[in-house]
Amino acid sequence: MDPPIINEGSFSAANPSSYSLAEIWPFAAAANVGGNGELGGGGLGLRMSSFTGLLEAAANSINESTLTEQSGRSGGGGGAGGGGGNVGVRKRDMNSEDDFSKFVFTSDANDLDGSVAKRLKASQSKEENGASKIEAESSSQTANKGTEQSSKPEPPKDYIHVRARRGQATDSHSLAERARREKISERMKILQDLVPGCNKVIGKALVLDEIINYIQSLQRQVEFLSMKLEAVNSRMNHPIETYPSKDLAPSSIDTTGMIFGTQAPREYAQGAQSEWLHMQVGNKL
Amino acid sequence: MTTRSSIIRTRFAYRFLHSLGKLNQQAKTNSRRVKHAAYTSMASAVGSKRAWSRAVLSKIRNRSLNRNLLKKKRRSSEESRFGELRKLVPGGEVMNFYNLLDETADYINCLTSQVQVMKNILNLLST
Repeated sequence: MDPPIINEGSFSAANPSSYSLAEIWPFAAAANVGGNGELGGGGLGLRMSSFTGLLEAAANSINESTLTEQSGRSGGGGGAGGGGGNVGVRKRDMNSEDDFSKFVFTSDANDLDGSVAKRLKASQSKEENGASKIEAESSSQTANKGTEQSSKPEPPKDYIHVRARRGQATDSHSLAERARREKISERMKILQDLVPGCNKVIGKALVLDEIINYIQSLQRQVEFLSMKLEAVNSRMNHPIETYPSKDLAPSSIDTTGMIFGTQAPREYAQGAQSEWLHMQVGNKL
Repeated sequence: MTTRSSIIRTRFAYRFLHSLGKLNQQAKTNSRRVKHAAYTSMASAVGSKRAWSRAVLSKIRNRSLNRNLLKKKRRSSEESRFGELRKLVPGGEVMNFYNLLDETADYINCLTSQVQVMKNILNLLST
């Protein structure tokens, strides 16, 4: 594949094309040239060049099957777009027989420097690899259209995301406050799932009441259980050694709580076997 | 979550039974000591990752220092729902609200597993 050639010169400027062009397509004349002399200054220098690798192929390819049209209003080099009535329309028909034909249009030679043109060329050469026809149409209102086109593939700028519905304040303090409230309500939901019977309760205060009651009941249960355990523990002073560990073994399959409720009394009874219990615990973990 | 709670359960059961055995060797025991042992072993089973367990552990570690402070705090704390919750969750007096809710969720989880394990131990010992 031969590299495509760009002609950068605006079409009245005496900018010689430094590239070796195999062929420069004949331009259709500018349809309408207004009174502004700025056009000559390079406002709407539109030039398209197609370079095919083979000269003969290029010579054959003026078949008018593909239409390239650019119409732009030349704002001049200074960009005086408001009053400028210059519209240059340039039509370009080309057909390339081989797939290698490239074309680059530059609507403003001043705005479009070489690097931009090359980028444009590269992006287009990807597209036209498979297709022999190229159709590009651009109607530019200002002279900067060329650069706008070339900057099209760039991703759009990201913007600050504000989650504010209608009527909500958008200053940073209220936003932070809203985020905090969202976090808290999310936590409250988790707590609601934890506390049984708390899902039906509506209202933050009632939910908190439920949570407080549940914690208090749990703590009271712990208290009650420790009372009972104390009683059992004091009773168990002597007969602990009578625990047959084999009797406890079958029940150790039930739950993890049961397992360590059953295994631990062995250690409790025989304090010397703590290493064994460590091993057991390690296995269960 | 299930694996974590089962790990905590086994650790708690091990520590609690160990401390029960120690208590058994002492001359006089009461239910408060058993309760203390239960809370301490629960907190040490959870470890120092959680703020409430850290509060329990530090409270136990310097119990004599805190005795006067606790009395003062109890008098000065105003009555509100959040105040109640703060009082219930250990270490809750110094947390912000979001952390308080977070710790409360973990504390409830641990309390439920603690109650279950203690019930199991009681069943075993009483039968």
